Order: sequence, then C-alpha cells, then structure tokens
Amino acid sequence: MIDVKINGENKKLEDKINIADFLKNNNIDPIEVTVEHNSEIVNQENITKVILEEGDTLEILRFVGGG
Amino acid sequence: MQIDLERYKRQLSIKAIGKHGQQKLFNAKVLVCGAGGLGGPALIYLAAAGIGSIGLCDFDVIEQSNLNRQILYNHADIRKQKAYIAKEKLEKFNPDVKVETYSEKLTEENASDIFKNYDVVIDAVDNFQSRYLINAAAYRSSITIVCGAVCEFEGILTVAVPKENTSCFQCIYPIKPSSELTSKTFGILGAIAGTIGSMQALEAIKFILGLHCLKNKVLIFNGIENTYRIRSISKRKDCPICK
Ligand SMILES: [Zn+2]
Repeated sequence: MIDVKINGENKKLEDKINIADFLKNNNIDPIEVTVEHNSEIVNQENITKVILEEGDTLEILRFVGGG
Repeated sequence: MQIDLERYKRQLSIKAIGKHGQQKLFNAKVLVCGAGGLGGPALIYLAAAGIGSIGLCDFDVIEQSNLNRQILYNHADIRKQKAYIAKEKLEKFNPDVKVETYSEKLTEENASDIFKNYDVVIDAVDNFQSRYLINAAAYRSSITIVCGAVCEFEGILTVAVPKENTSCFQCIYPIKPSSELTSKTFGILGAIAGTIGSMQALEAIKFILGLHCLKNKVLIFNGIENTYRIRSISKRKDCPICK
C-alpha cells in the first residue's frame, strides 16, 4: 500500500500506478481533465509514463467552461 | 449622487458596507461578458447592489433552449437580442444603474477598447476560447477578472487581479482543452449556474469594497456532493499571460 494525496485528500493505493491507469480506474476520461502531479502539469502524451508513488500529490480538475 | 437610503437600507446596515461602501459600489464600473446562465444572476445581483455602471457584452439572441437557466428572459423574449432585453430589465429593476450594451462578438481587437472603460470584468461566457481571450485582454488592460464556469453539477470560481500580480485563469488550465472536448455540448442546470453566477457578483462586490476575495485560489463546487473545495493556484513561471 502507498499513501498519496488526491485533490487534497489522503488516500491509500494498492501499489504504484501510472496516471492513465489511475484515471481509468476512477472512470475519468483524460481529455476532460487537467492533471497536476506534484505541482507539475502532466501532458496528455505523458499520462502513461508518469507514475504515482508514495507521498505524491495529484490534482485532477475537470475542464469546466460552460455558462 | 445622493444614495437612496431606503432602497439600500438592508445593506447600508452591514458594517463592511455602510454609506462609504455604497458610494464605492455606485462609482464602480463592472462589465459582464455573457448574459446567459451565469451572467443573468450576476447582472441582477450587481444591479440590485447598486453598481452604478454596468456593461454587458453578448451578441446572441434568446432561444427557447436558453430558458432552463437564463432567468433574465422569458418565453415572450425568444428571438430577441439578449443585450437589449437584459438592459431593459436591469434598468427597470434598478433605475440608479446605467447599463451600456455591446451586442458584438468579443474579439482580440475590440476587447481592449471595451475593457478600458471598466474596473472589473465578469467572465460569464460559455466557451473556453472566449475565457482565454477575456483573461488575456483583462491582463493587458489591467482590470480584475471574476471568472465563473459550470458544467453539469459542477462549478468553478476564481478572481485574478493583474494590478496585484496574481495568478490567472490560464494558470488553472495551462493546457487548453482539445477540440474533441470543446466540440461536445455538456449539460447545464439552472440552479448550478445561478449559484456560481451569484457568487461572481459577490466576488466583484467584495473586490470593489476592498474585502477578501478569491485571489490565487480556485473554488470548486460540487452540487451533487454539496462540497466546496478551495485550492491554491500559484502563478506558473511559464504562464504567457500573468508572467
Ligand atoms: Zn497565469
């Protein structure tokens, strides 16, 4: 188990996981969100390469633009 | 101008407002871009509070499918120009308020010309392209932006103050959404737009009064879970707008 912080909340994950798989497991379509891993923006092309590890923070913000 | 003591009685009694604050509100110039689901409630509450000069920028006509959320309009207004109907209603609502309309599409070219006449711009538009445009133009004109947006049961709200060198909308969404996403039409619920639109009016009012506002932060509202989360947004070193 690893401890991570997702959108400000402490969470436990089974194991290290790449961002793409993490989003998929949480039913989040990657094109609909902006992802920040340890305060760095994650580009779409890198979401399979960036790994969520012990102590990491992840911010996922949906593109909200309507009015 | 003499303050109407009766009309504003219930807010004059608020310590942080009083006659001095009411005068500040009357002297303020606020531009609302988009007179729809967010802009409607924002405009009504700005007018109600006694903002002396309100600009409204919208080139659309009223359609039947607007009426689930755009509370400034009713069935009889369908096919009429939004800017024209909104001005008429707001001036009837509060005769103290002067309303200027811009019924043209906001572009890089005309934005600075319009923005220079205002202290605050309320970003209440319905698409990302216009939001990036408003953010950039407001930084060029050094006017405060109160940005609100909604999608289904969610909403976001943030304030950027170029004069105080704060972070901006583009720091929140540095990578623009794909065309695949922006071509989709997402649902909007009137009560969610009403919540965020009212909060936009509130942030503008607090900024004018010199009170605390959502600078360097974004508020994320989830209408299903009944949660508000406030997240810090720092200026990005590589932001082309607020750098
Ligand atoms: Zn920025």
